[in-house]
Amino acid sequence: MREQRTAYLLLAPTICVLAALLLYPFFYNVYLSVMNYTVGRESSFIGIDNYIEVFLDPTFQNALIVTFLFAAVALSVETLLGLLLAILFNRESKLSRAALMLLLLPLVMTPVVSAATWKILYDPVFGFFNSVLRQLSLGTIDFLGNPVLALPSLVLIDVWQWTPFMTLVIVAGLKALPKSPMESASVDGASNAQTLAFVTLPMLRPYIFVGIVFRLIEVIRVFDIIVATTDGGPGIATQTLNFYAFIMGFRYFHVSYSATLAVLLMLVTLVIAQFAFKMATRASRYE
Amino acid sequence: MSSRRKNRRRLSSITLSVLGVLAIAAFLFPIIWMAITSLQSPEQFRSGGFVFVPTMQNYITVLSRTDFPRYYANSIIIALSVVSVGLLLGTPAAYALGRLRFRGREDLAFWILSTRFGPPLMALIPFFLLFRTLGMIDTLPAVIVVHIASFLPFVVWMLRGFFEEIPKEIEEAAMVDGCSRMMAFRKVILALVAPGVSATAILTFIFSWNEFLLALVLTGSQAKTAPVSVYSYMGQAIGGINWGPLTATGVLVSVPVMIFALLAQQNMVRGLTSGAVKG
Repeated sequence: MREQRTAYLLLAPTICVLAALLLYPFFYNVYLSVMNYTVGRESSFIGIDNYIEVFLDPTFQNALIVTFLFAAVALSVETLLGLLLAILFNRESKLSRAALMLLLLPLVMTPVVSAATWKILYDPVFGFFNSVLRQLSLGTIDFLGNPVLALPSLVLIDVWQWTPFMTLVIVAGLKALPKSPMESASVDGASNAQTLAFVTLPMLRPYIFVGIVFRLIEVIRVFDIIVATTDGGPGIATQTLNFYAFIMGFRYFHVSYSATLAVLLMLVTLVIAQFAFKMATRASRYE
Repeated sequence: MSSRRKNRRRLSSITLSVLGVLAIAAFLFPIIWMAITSLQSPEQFRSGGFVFVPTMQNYITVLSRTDFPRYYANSIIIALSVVSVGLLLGTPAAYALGRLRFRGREDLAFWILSTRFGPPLMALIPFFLLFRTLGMIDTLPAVIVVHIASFLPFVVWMLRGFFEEIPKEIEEAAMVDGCSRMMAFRKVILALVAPGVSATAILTFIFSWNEFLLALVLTGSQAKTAPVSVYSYMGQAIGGINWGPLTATGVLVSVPVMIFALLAQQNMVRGLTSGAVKG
């Protein structure tokens, strides 16, 4: 009983702060989404009109597709490449230890700075990629200005920055797995590839899931690299949901519309978070 | 037969090492490219050669002729404030969630975790309107408050994992020896969990330092953070004229977080997955 009181006492400050700093904005945001508040005008209650408008808005549909494509491609590449690198570096050698350490560097680089770096690499005139293309007499490609190539070029930045995350999560999984199933498989005559495919990978699944879910939550709200490189362009080719919600609120001052988009984004992320929590507890049970 | 197999194995080991080196080179290349660009004069940059005489000119320009040092200081103040307040609030909460038994513990833990998953934009619009009313736009406290809201759930979750790992017997032994629970917490538990606290502090610092969207909206010319200043230089860097100074600021912004990441290496994975995976 006393333990219970102590617990609530210790938790009280954090709960109060989070309630004030997160619950209040949450409800205020929901309130804004049922108003027609635009900076500098009287606002009034309009019910679910904003939500109806969102679903009829072609730019929203575009943002939904762009977000989905970005997430799907980035996550598949990051998972696959992350897995390959994890298998490659899951060895007891100086090289592997150094590699896993160096992989931290892209991972923690300030996203705006990585965006700046890649913008320089992609530059049509001075960029590294285009100077290579010119050496090979292949002409010039405006990676970020081309409506077809802009999105994949952004995905590549994300892949560069976040593949190390998947690698590190999977390496942590490999280290935590019991060794005996792999050993007995190899005693039974399974090749390395067979052991990997039929013994190691199934056991790794919870770790890979946790990695994917945490990436998914982040990738849905990707913003920094977009605003700093293409700014959603050319046209609306690289406008994700989060970016669209941002410009509606802070460039066009349709505050209520932006709040509506934020609520929808929140709902999507919460569903994924529920899923994440289940996966996370399952993964920790494997340890 | 066996020597041929040995040869094959050695060959494949060499192949794997070469592949590994190539992969790491690919991941480091953009960082190295940025660092090289920051050491080039504009003429050298335009000629595009690899061979050049390094110059510190870009760094001197950035540090002496722009407001960048002030923005850098802003970032340091914000990140340190977020870390101290975060640990002050989060450590007792993490202790309770990790070591005490009480009703609704798991629900509460999940609620705290789920707040981390809300999109920052959700809090940003109300905060922006509130800070505008209070006249707090473009002040450091505005950014600090919003960062605490964003990163406190992370602090609690990361620390909770470290608290859970301490064997119950140690705390009980201390209490049998005449310590109160409070004393046991201060003298025994806190000492054992210290490495976890420092790892959490480092990661929180990195998160706050790297954060861009909230700082972009809430600051102007006064309270601007270092990443936001990088973004403003990018707008001016069209045509490659200012790329030297731009990359110099990039290097200056990245170096501290990279050093911190190497210090917190062991706990990086755990931090980035809120403790779901132990690294």
